[in-house]
Amino acid sequence: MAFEPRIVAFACNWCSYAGADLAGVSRLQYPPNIRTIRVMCSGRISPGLILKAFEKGADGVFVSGCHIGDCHYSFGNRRAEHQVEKARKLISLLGIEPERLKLEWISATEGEKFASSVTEFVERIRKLGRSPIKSES
Amino acid sequence: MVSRQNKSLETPEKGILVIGGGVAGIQAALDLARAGAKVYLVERSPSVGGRMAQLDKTLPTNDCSICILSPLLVEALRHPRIQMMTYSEVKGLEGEPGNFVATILKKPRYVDETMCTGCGVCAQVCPVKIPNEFDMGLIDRAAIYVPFGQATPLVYTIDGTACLNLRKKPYKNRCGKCIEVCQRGAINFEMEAEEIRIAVAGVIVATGFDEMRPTEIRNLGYGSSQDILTGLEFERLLNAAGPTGGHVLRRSDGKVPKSIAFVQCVGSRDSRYNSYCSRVCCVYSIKQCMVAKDHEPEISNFYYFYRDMRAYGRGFEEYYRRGGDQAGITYIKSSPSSIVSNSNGGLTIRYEDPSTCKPSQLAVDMVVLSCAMVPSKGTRELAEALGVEVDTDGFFKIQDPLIDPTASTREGVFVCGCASGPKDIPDSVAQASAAAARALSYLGERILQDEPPLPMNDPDEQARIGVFVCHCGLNIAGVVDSRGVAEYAKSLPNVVYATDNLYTCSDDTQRKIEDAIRQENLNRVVVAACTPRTHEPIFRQTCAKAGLNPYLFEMANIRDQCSWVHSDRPQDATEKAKDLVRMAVSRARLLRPLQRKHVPVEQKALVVGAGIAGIEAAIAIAKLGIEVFLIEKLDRLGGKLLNLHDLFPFAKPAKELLKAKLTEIDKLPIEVITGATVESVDGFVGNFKVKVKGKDLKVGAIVIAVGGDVRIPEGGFCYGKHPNILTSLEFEDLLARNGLPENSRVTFIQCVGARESDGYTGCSRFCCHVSLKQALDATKMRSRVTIVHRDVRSFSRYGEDLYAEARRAGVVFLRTDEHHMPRINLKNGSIEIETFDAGLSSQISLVTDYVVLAIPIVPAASARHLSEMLRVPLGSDGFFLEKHVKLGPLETNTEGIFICGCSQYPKDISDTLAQAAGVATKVGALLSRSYVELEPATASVDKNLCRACGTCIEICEYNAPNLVADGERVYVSINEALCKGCGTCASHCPADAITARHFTDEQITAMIEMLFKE
Repeated sequence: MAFEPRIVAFACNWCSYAGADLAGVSRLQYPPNIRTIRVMCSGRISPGLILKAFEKGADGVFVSGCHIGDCHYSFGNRRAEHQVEKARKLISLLGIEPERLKLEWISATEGEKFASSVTEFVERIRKLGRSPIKSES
Repeated sequence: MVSRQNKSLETPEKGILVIGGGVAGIQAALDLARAGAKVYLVERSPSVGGRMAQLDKTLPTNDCSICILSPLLVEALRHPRIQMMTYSEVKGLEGEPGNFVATILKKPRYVDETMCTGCGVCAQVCPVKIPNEFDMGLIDRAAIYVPFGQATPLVYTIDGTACLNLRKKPYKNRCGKCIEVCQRGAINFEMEAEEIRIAVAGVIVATGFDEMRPTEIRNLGYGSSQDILTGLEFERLLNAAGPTGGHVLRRSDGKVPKSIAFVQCVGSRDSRYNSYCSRVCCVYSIKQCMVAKDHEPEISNFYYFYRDMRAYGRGFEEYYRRGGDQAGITYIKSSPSSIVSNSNGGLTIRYEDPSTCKPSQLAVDMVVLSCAMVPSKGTRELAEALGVEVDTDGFFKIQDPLIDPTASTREGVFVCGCASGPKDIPDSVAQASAAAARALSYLGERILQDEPPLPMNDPDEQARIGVFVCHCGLNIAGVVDSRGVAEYAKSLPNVVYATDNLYTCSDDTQRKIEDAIRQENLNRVVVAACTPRTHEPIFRQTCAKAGLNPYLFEMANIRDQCSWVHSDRPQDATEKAKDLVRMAVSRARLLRPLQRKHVPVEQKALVVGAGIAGIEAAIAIAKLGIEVFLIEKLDRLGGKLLNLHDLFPFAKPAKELLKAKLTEIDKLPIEVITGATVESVDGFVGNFKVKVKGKDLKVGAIVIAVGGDVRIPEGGFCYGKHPNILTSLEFEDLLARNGLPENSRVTFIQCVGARESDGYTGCSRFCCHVSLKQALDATKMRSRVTIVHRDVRSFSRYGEDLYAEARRAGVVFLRTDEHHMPRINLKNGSIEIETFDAGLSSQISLVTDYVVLAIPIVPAASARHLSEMLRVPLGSDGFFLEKHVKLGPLETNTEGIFICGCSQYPKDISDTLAQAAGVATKVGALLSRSYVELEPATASVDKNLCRACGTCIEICEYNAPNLVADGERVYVSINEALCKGCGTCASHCPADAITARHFTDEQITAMIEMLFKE
């Protein structure tokens, strides 16, 4: 069977998750490869959670939050930026291509951006192939 | 959707009527409801949201408009104290303040609000195509429609004038396609208008504005070319959900323009159309340039035609500079005389070149006209129905903006936002809160029911999970095998019950869920349906009704983020839905019941500073029945008002205003403490301990109203070297006390120590108005007056009239710029001014008898110390920082501490009064109860793991984590009254000591693990 990437997405409640909903309301189509976990703020996402997703078998991890300046909690997305960069270094050490981790700012009106960036990301992971780390469990 | 709008109208409780569901109306409604009032929110169109919902971005942060607005719309829809009546109009108002009866016409939607699920299948089959008003007619909609994606309520409406069935009454089944596809049978062509009468104590009018259609301004070519747009039309082009998906494309050929011209004051400040200033256009056009550049980097030229750059708000001056530096805007101070199509498919603009004063022309690919804000359609009819007057411009008339900027000409009827004249979002929101405070004082009893504690379940009992999978008609089931997903759910660990339903949100299914919870003894519920953003509150309520803690509920989004976006891949969509349900079940197993917490509050307020802001805040708070301490560092009340004589725009004596306010103070429960400052502050929301004159005051809320200081031009402009070189305050005094000798020559210099590129960057908003007023006074004393300015910023209501009057009175205006500020030479006692005049494009000199230096307000000297004590940050300009630049002008980041007046940013008296009264509603909502209720999904610290490293303290924007010492041990404790539950501290704690309740590592990890475990 052809390789179908499995992607874990984290989306903040206020902007990105709303943007994902708007993609739905607008009936924009994107590949069915992502499974989204909603959190209140992108700042909630730690390198540990990102690593956990890769460890368990994710071929890619997609983190999305409010645009800089738009964070519902002022600066949570700035923190997320640091956390994702930290995670990117860690996965590189583990031999996972850093491009398998993507951070994108998506607002509640950007249904189109949600759909297009997920589409682009799925294609990117499809080209990269299976994650070099696949869980034993 | 049966549950959401089914509130009975039969025995309506007396409340406050709010007319208009734009940002002002929504803010007023929420403020009132939070303070316990019953609110009837009437909106003419099918959805609330108003003009702000149409905007792509708000400035100066370029923040997404709907992202910040939509949560408020949903809150208003869900609020148990707000009855939202959309597609309804107010037809009459009888009775007396405190006891009005309003007549409301509910127009027929032809769609049953209680049945429609907002799925939109009807709109897809409707054969009618007419221009969509929300997109300014740039794209079509069907006859059955919602105005926009985030419409609130998400209920379809049939446009009776466009529908094939309804266009020609009586209704005959000529089309009926929507009836065929509506699975819910929600469409009803027999529906008729309904008249409702409700008892209201007060009325708030928030009907906003319309954008002028510039068709009558023929020389600007609107209508002659598709590439000439209005500001709002262009805003829709910028919007990702708009007609072009956020791409700036010419309507003539679908190409990205290379150059765009923006034209200000189209129909504004023009006696042929509207003489007033529309207040927002100068800066919104800068925003539009920046956003357009961001969306289409290939746009290389932005030409910006303006008359006076009115960038008067907080951070606007920097924004104006940024527009030039970063977006490369070419600012041209000139008004185009004509705009016509040229032979290259573009547009040619003719104008006078300000540098040469010669006719010039410019070819561009697109033109955006910043059109006047005019009274919204139907304003006159509504004014008549309400028995209030409109002013000369057709806006709702304010009786006396210097006593109450929200009071109409009828007692008990208040006006806020653009209904009383153009204003920007923060000013509209502050006025909305002010109107709410006024209306609230007419409502005798407010009901603040104590919420019962949430049912609690044993967290350690083995999970018994019930799963409910929605079909949503065919919205989900047309793609995803909902029944198959429900069958699959039965196989998952701990799932003891699973079923599928046609509409999970319908009343009958909600009852089924309640029954299942009781009969199957469920202690966790999972609903796989639409989005938790809108529906989680409904299902949580259902759980609580059946005795299940609402935090033991979880949703899987298999519609908006599954069936709707994978409609062409039903099998994959079904697999995804199963994964999402499996993840939801795994999280549900680990959910913990949470209880609302209460913190007792001290039902008293402290107002710091007794200028007009503090005085008004104290009065408005006390009128809500709350005791107030009003402290003032000087020995008398009044602040800057003590130094003023006549107040613009109507030359009201300052003494009269102050006297009226001080008389009110005497009658209210306000304890005035003069010669006093804040010595120390301890505590948090509801429980502050403030040391004043060595005594501890216990208060639940603090209002900062310390104002600002005037900036004395030390040494500059020969100030202090000649008795006739005066500041505007000193000149005010001179005019009132001695007057001026006949034939005096008076020269005003504006922006002395303001709008500096390095130094004090801000604009003080009122100085232009003050100088115009003083100039007029001087001309009445037969003086010859010159005003040297950089831009005349008379944007306030009636400010433009002052400007026009001054010109008529012969006041000479000389325009200069920051780099050519006037120089003063003193020769043998006479004063000579050398200045640049942009009109002549040369340096000129003039001799004058008086120089008036228009000086700005700068942050109060005490601001920094106070900011440190209160832990309320200052902005980079040194003024107290509001919580949100658009929607939270009166709150601070510290819960329970509010700001108003010039301590937030310089402003005139009318705007100050609005903010001060607005603060009262916020304080009133907080202190009306004896406790504050806290959101339980906050962070908590395991003190055994905490190493007291302080990472969380550094991260938290809300000062929630604090170090506590317990004997030898030091650890962090989270103040739940301050925690907002974002969970950022939990993700940063190096010791894993912090748990973000309801979004724990354990719960998120379980979802990830379960996803990959099949």
